[in-house]
Amino acid sequence: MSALIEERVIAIIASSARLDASTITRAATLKSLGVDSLDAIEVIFEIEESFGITLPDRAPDFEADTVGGLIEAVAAALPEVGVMP
Amino acid sequence: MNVPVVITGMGAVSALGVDATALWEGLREGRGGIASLVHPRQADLRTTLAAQAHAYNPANHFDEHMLGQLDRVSQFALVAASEAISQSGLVFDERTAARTAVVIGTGVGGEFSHDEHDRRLYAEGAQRAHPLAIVRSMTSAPASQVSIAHRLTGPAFVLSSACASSNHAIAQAVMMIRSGMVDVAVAGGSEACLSYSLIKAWEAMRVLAGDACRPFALGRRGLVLGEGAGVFILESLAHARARGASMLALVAGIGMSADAVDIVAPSDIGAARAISAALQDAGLAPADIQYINAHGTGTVANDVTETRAIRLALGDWANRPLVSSTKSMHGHALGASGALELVAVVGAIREGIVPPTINFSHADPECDLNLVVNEPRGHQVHAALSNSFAFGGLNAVLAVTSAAGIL
Repeated sequence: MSALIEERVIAIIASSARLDASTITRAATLKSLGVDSLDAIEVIFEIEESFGITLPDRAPDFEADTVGGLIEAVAAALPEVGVMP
Repeated sequence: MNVPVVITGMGAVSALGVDATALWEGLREGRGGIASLVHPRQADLRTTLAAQAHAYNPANHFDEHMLGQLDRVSQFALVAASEAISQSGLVFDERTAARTAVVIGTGVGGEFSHDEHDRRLYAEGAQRAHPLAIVRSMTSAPASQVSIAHRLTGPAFVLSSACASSNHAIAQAVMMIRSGMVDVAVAGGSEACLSYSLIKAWEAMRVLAGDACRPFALGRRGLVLGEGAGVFILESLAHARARGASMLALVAGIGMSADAVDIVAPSDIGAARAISAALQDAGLAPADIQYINAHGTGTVANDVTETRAIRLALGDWANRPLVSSTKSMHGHALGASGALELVAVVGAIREGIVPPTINFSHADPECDLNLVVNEPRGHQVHAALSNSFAFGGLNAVLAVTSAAGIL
């Protein structure tokens, strides 16, 4: 389950950052991947649309937010295991 | 030497009331106009706060027939313009009307009318659009309506630069007066942006504060949307003198620049260039400035960048002028903000009271200016700056000085 979340979140970031998904690690920050602040809110939007969830209403901190942090935020926002759309 | 341009009237509609006096009295007392959002689609919105003009009742100002052709943005502009013209004591005849410009700034124009039109067609599946959809929603309507209401036949138009629209409009009016093209300008900004679709769009940018608007404070979360209008009567000093007008202040300098960097992230260098240009245009040195009404949106990025911009432009003097963001009280009325803030600047100059940044809790070391927080401060202000730095890097700064002693 979490592997599926990870795969899909990384695919979204890879598309935004125009990077090969295999080069993106959980520890990477959005900034280190070249995702600027405007890209970051688009990434969040794409994730929300893709998973059918609403992430907490705060501005993405693209300097500090990591790929792993986003994956955890998605897992936390999903209603229950096994219903990922 | 530039032709001096004076302010001889002002009018406003805001969350603090339906005239400029109500706005200034609220700001002077440090009274917030931000409250719980009241909206027909509230249940579908995340936004909890807004600075809405609740005291404004269209029926007190317009008959039903007139209201049919007026978007809320034009209503605000008309009400503020009438107040400003009335305060100025100007009575227009054919000749003076032709020598009077109307320049109104707005970020989004007839937004409520667009929203209603789209809802009818797309959500309700209506086959017919309302016949007044165009006249209500055209972005230029506020300038047209003001020119028609007062039979002003000089140059008239709306201009748009997002959150700097008011300051760009006032700067444009100043240039037209200086050039000799007109003697008088009715200039300012109006915004009525709290439609369902626009609030949703702002939510998606993730820059709205859910707790409070606390510019320059540590832990600030973002801006709070507002609405309203501010309109000013600008005149050449000679014109104002000749008719014995009472002068509220001088628009001594204007400075404009483009960051030319990013569509959202602000640039300290770009903003500093506009501040420096305003000072230079006014013939003022940094040490002449006693007060800065900051753009101060309350977003993490703006307030830090603006602090750096003020340091870049004012150098060693940057710690000296008092700084506040009145957006903490009248909200961020986008294209009307600069005009609402000019009411604050004129009030500060005339009464020697600097309105505060309210909701200020803890200092942010990256916003280490001489901030006036939570309580107004008595302070003589002869010269002040009013900053507007829009999304997309469009900057406009006004330098305003006291009219005392000019007569």
